[in-house]
Amino acid sequence: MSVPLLALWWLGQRAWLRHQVRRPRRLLVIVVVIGLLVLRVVTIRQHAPLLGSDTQSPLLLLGSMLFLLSVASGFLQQGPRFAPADVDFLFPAPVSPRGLLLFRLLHLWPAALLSSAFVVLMFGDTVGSPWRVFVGLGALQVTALHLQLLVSILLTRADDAVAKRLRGGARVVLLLVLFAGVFALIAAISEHGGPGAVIAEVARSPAARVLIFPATACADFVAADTAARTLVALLRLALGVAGTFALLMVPEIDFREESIDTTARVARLLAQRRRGETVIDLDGRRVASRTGRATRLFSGAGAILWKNSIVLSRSLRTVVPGILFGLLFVLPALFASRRDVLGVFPAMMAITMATLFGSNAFNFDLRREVERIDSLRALPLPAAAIVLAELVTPWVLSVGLQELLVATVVLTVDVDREWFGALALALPIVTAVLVVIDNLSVFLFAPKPGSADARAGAGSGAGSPAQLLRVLVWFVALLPAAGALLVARLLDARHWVGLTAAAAVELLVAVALFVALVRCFERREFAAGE
Amino acid sequence: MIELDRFSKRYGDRAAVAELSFAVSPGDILGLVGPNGAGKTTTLRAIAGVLRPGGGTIRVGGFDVVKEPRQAKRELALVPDTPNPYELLTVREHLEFVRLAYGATRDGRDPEELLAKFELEDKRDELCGSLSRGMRQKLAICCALLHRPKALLLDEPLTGLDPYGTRVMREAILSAAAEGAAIIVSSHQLELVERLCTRVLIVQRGRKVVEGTLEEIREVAALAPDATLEEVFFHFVEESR
Repeated sequence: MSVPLLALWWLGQRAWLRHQVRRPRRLLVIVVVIGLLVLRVVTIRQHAPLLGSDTQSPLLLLGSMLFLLSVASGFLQQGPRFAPADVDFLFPAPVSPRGLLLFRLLHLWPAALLSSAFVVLMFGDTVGSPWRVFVGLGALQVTALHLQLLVSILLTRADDAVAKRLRGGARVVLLLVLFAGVFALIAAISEHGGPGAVIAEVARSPAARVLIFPATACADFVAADTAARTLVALLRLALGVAGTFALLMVPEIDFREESIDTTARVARLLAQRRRGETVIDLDGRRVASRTGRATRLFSGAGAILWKNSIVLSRSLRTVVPGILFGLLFVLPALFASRRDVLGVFPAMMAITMATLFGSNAFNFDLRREVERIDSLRALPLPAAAIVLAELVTPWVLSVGLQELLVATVVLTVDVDREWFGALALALPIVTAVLVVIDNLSVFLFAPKPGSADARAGAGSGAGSPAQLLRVLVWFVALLPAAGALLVARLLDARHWVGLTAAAAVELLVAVALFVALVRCFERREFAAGE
Repeated sequence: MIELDRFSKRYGDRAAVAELSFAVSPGDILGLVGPNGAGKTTTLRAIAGVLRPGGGTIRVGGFDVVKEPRQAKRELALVPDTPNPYELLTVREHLEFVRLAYGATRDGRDPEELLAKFELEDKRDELCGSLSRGMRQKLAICCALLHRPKALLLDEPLTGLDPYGTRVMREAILSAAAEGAAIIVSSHQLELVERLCTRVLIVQRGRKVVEGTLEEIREVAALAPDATLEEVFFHFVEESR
């Protein structure tokens, strides 16, 4: 690779770092994350191992998942994805495809190693020596990365229709691997038996040792108890990295034309995600318009409800897998409930989790309207009516999901029904508070006109770092209700008195927050043109 | 129809618009021109009731946009410089949404007629997210014309349009004016403003530099009777620098 490309890479990294450090909210998030990681490093040796005797199965499972997910995502791109600026300025420059590929790898290698370090910090020494896990997972991820790029480059030789079909197939495989992997990982870590033994059996088969060779090499390297075994496993890992790198570099295939399309498509999808919208490939989508006589029922602010219901119905492809994935974590805790006061807590925690992720999963409200706030404000409708209409969809869907979970538990598990009855009544109010706060964050964290964030086009979608601060606000907003419950208990009031007081207090909080949201909708200014 | 009296707007320490006053009568097309950062978009957004004025008053159809926002908004339509339609609604559904929100189901224009006029018929069942910039621009103007507004605000209306689209857009603006709408067109395309607008307002750093018909402002600038708007524009902008 040429010196100018190396210099460009270095300047890019330096500029990115400076940009992060100069934005206070991002800096705060970075400091918090680093603090948590340092805390983890300090305490890494103080924890007792979480896993029992079988430490190899979870690592093998995790390695296989990372490997398969990474390679399968190569099928999603016909030609590797670059940054839009690379396409505009590097593609027309006298740089060979091989040089471009090396430039791309310079960006991807550190990311692969960083994510390996993150896994090590998560697991600590529960699956083996942290250094060995880091080396093993690092080599595995770099190998997978090479194969992912190789697949995407080879796809440029395929017909467009074939590539599109492969993309659809890869999405299904990715989803299945993710679901099955998380389920098996939970089972393996919690030592419920079954998957652990099956995985060990499968991993010993010759076919698996070829198909998921970096994962088996990684597991062998971490588990090796002699110098010879360690060396052999390390050699296998090194061969994987070097061999796939050679495969990637030897055939010089010109992928640039396809990469231009891939880059534009992915940039569009990422922009959708930044705006908090449904990440969906819209190219060439033709559907039947729903404009029958029934639409007349939705005049005025009802039109917003009608619009959101259509957007929801067209987003199910991304919303439903998200909900199912969330339920994968929630359901085991939900059904672990027992019929005593303490036994209710796992279920309550699970429903709380559903409440928290429900608000994000069903964000068919002002969170998706940041770029259309002007159009909404220009409508001849009261601001309160517009805001209320926007909040209805996420509130109804979240509450519906929570009440369904509560009903399922009450009907299928022997639990204290009084507790769950109170919970069923409290959930609509709590959800209203959370949904209003989530919408409020759109305005509170939006870049001010003329600010550096506004010029940089910083997103205020659900994924932006500043939005993470809203979690803190959730807890603060729910404190008054907890306070009311506490006061009722101190005064030896009856159960229902405490619950009613808590509900009334939280209802007031919800109304106050709604009024604040309407004020923000009316007054908060976003970056203007000229 | 549109009246601004000493309208001002600040962003922090910076005055985006300072004491701007002008009026647009029914049937008039006012060309709002000025260099980047002159306050054109801010002015249009304030007239549309999207931004709150920092000072002064803005009235549309006799209604104060701050005190009687609903009545004022019912009378006007804004076409932003970068239209962002709902990506997961089809073109036809998007028009229906606007029609319902404005309550224009009876006295509004026929959406199918507008789609035909702007050559969007074959796109009616396509998702807005897959439209090109030019198509989005056409959709935005269709949405704006749907409820027969008495005041029409257009921010860079021809950006991204092909020659045919440009001609259709120009004709649509002229026909809306002929029907009695008061129109403000903000644009950097001075030729368009010269051909389309009955009056011109040049702003710089948020302040009015000059206002009038092209003949009137040529006279103020003491330029030849055949001087183009571009020459007049540079005369005033260079002078006020």
